[in-house]
Amino acid sequence: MVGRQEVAPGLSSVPEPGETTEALLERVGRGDEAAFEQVYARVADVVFGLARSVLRDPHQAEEVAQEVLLEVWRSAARFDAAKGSARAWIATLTHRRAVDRVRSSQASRNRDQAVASRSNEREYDEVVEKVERTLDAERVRHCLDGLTPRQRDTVTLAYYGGRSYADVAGLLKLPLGTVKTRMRDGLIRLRDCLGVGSDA
Amino acid sequence: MPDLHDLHTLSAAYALDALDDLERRAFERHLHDCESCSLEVREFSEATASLAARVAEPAPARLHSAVMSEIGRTRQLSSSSGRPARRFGQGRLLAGAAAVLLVIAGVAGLGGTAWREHRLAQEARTTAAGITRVLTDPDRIETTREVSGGGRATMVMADGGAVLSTRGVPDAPSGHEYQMWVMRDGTVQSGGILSVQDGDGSAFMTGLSTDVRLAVSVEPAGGSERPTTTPVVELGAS
Repeated sequence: MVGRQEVAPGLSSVPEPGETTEALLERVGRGDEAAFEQVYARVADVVFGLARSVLRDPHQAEEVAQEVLLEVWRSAARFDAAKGSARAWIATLTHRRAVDRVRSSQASRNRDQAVASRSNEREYDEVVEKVERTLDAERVRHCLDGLTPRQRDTVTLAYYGGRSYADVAGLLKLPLGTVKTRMRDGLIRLRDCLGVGSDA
Repeated sequence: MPDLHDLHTLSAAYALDALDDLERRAFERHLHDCESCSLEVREFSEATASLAARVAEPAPARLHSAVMSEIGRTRQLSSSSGRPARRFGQGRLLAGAAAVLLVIAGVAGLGGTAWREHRLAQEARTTAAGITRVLTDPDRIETTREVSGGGRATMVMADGGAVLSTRGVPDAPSGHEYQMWVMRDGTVQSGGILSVQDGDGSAFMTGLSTDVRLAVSVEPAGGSERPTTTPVVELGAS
């Protein structure tokens, strides 16, 4: 699914120079710090934003983002472009780590603390500006709109909210099997709409 | 534990990180032998990466300096290794977190069971959408408190909506029910009955301001107009 010169949509918030993120990662794997700097510029906003979507607390999101970006540096040599795009690899690392943290008991202990630091959080939020809508973001939105409300609910609760499918089933009062099916149908529809993976 | 025969259908839940720890491991073992599952997971991961792009937010400048200074001290892995480097999440998952949450439409007023059920049917769809909105709002506020008598209650609040859920709470004494209260500026309004089954209960409320506090008390079946006992738990956003 890699091998085209165009970089998959979304991860890039800077003008795209010729080199793909996959190619950059190969250089990062050989210890090239300048290449890592470029990778950072392309992915940091998504890594941070995704971690924040799941963890909600910007300080924890920052910690997770730092762990993930260091992991990218550490394991770049083991990134295998034959198994997927760079952006999918990095988004997967980020989501997994954020979800693990939010479900750990440590995170629940921190919840009250997060509420206590709410005023700081608000200040922080004022500084944070929404990234400008790109055409890619519009396309994703369009594809999300193409899901049935139930499919959309299950997919977004799991992905943006970091909920397990059992949680989703409980919250939406649906049988477990139904939730699994809706997640699957939803992702199939998303995949087809976005046209990802069909060029493998 | 998952039914092993339907591991195939778990690829989407896996790609969404929606499996619990045991299921995740079972599915990963299965992935080794299932070429079509691997391909599907890869494709789904490309799709979820697009979802990720949608929530991009400017990363703080200090993240950049922290990461750039750390890489100078961080040893890189070589490309030759048996173990995939991407498997690293060590977080422990809350055991048995698969709570069955009963969603009731606990809006204003009390009403009888029939009213609630009618209301429930009518609002099931809106409620599901509302819960989704609250639980995925990046600015949601989450508070968890111990419930006196046992268990925990969690309130998630965002955009005028609140999801209240309990885990491990004992049944109300016979002839009694848990009732929710919405408190603001010294006024107390009923938030409806919180039905708890096997310790788990859940309710969704709308039209709240962020400075409300929610409380739950044990009341005679059917509910009271004002709390008649000391609340077993009280939750506020601030």
